[in-house]
This record gives sequence, C-alpha cells and structure tokens, in this order.
Amino acid sequence: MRRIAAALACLLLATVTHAAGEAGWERVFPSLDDARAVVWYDPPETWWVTSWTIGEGLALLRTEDDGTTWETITSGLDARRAADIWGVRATYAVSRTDPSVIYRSGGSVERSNDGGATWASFRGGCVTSCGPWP
Amino acid sequence: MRDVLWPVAVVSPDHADRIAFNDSGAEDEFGVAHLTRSVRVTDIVSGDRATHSGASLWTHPETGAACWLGDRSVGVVNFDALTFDQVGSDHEQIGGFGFVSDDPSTLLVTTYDVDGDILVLRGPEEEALYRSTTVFDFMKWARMVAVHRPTNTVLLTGGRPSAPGVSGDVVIASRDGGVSWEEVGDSRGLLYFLSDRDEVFQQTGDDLLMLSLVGSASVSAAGKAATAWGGLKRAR
Repeated sequence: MRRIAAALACLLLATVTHAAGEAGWERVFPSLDDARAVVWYDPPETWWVTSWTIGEGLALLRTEDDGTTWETITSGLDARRAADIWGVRATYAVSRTDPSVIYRSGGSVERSNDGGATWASFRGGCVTSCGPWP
Repeated sequence: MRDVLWPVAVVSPDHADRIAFNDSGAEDEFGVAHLTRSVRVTDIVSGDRATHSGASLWTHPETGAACWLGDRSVGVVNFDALTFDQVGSDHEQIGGFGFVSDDPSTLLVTTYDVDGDILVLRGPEEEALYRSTTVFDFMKWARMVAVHRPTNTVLLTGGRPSAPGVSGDVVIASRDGGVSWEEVGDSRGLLYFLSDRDEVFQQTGDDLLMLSLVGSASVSAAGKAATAWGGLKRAR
C-alpha cells in the first residue's frame, strides 16, 4: 500500500510540476501545428504567419479573423531541406506599404512583386557584391 | 520546443525596396540595402562589434522595427539612413533585448556587470535602469526581457541553473517591479507585446504563446503606471 501511495504521490508531483512549467501560457493559434514566426500583425485580427510542414517547406499564411481561417499566400520555401537543420534559416518578409512585394530567404534572398506567384533572386545569390536588382 | 528562429532578411515597414539581411548566399554578408537602381549597401557590422555569425535580425510583428542582436551590441536598423541605431554603447556581455508594453519603440538591453554576477537592464540612456543579483536564483544567465507597465510585471527569459535533472530555459516574472521573482514556465523564445492586447507573447521555434498579465493577485491600478516604472528602478 505504501508503494502505491508513493507512486501516486510521485505521479501527482510530476503532474503539478508539469503544470507549473506551463504556468498559464496558451497557444495563440491552436489551428496551426507549427507557427514559426509572426511576420506582420495588423490589428485587430489580421496576422501574417509562417508555418513549416515537413516535405512542403515553409509557407506564408494570412488570417483576417484572428486565426479562425487561414489563407496560404505562398509556400514551398526550402521544402527539400530538413526542418530541424535548415528550416531555421528560412523566412518570409512582407512589405507593409505594398503587400504584393514579398521577400523570402532560405540561403539567398529572393523577391516577389506579385504576392508570391513568381520569384527573382539576386544574380549569384548574393546582395552586396552583386546586382543591380533584376 | 525548438529555439526561436531568426530571419535572415527583413523589409522596411516604410520602404518596399529597403531590406536588412544577414548571411545571404555564399557571401557572409550583413547589412542594409536599398534595392532600387544600383544596389546601395551599408555594412551594419564593423570594427570590433558583433561578428557576422553572432548577429541576428528580428522584426517586431506590429511596428515592423528590425531589431538586431549582436555579440556586443543591440539596436534597430534605420532604413531611412541605411544605418544601424545602436542602443547604448558596446557591452562585454549581452544577454538579449526586450520591450516595454506601452512603448514598443524603446528597446531594452539585458547585460551584465564586468564580473557577470549582476544583471543590468539598460535602455537608450547610458545609466542602468535596473540591477539585480536575485534573478540568478532562478537562472544562470538572462536573455530576453519584457516590462508590462500597467501591472508592474517584469518578465525575463534565461537558462535554468545547473542541477541534476534540470535543464532548458525558463521564464521568470516579478510582479513587484523586480523585487521578487517566480517561475512562470519554460522558455525557448523572445517576448513582446501588441498594442491592443493585455497578454505578453512568446515566439518559440514552432509556436506562438501568450500569457495573460491582468487579473493576477498583485496587479497595480492602471493609474500607477509611472510608479511601476519607478519600482523597476528601485535597485539601482
């Protein structure tokens, strides 16, 4: 009986410790499995967020209802790379003055002027020693 | 949770053709560029400031400010002048940076004294805003900071002290302006505020989390905001 009581006590302690570790933090977007970064928050309910899916790469998503529904703006960045190694280097950046201008970087920097439909990179994949912009 | 992600390129909130970038392509470059006509680039990092590999860029989701965290300095990219506005002077040890809830344009810096045993919180001015040794009861080093002025709450992220069975990073909070501290969860990210929300947000490597700061037992009255900041200065 003492062993059972001790085991229950340990289980209770582990449960309490785990709960204390989380301590009231909530997920902002329960509908997204892997919200990598908030690219742009345009209050009150519009968010531009990047999300990673294995095999599909990094996607840029937008919600205009605080995360209830999502629209994929563009996707496929670094899809061939392993998320835990190279996925951390990939990202999107959206222009707030012209949201059709989107940058993405997954080793080199590329730019889209049509909302992510087509992309152009710096000649040679570099910025300072190459150019001008195509 | 994975470590928080640092983008390698960010765009100016006011100019679609101006970007800051880090480690782009085969060349290990770090700078800010104006991409129209001929590419104009200013090297943000120079001299004995942070190394390229140690520098990171992060965009505030609401303001669009591009914050830069280096090995020895912290600041914001100035897209108008194509330069870098450093907060304070260079420091021997930098932990990270953070924000005040009602003033997203002010960047705070966590650093240490010369012996590394006192946490020093700095703002744009040279003098320290806050000093503490008690935070090291909860963490062996500090990284990011967030100050929620309406509730007099200060949050810090950092590494847990070395102990058997204990690992990872931690978030601690002080609800009395930095006098006493308590653990409020695990950490793998940075902290920030959004203007119309009462929560503090934590961006981890694979999730965005939020923690409500209102309704806690020691919430200060909204009218005592100035007093709360005075509390943070208590330990100078």
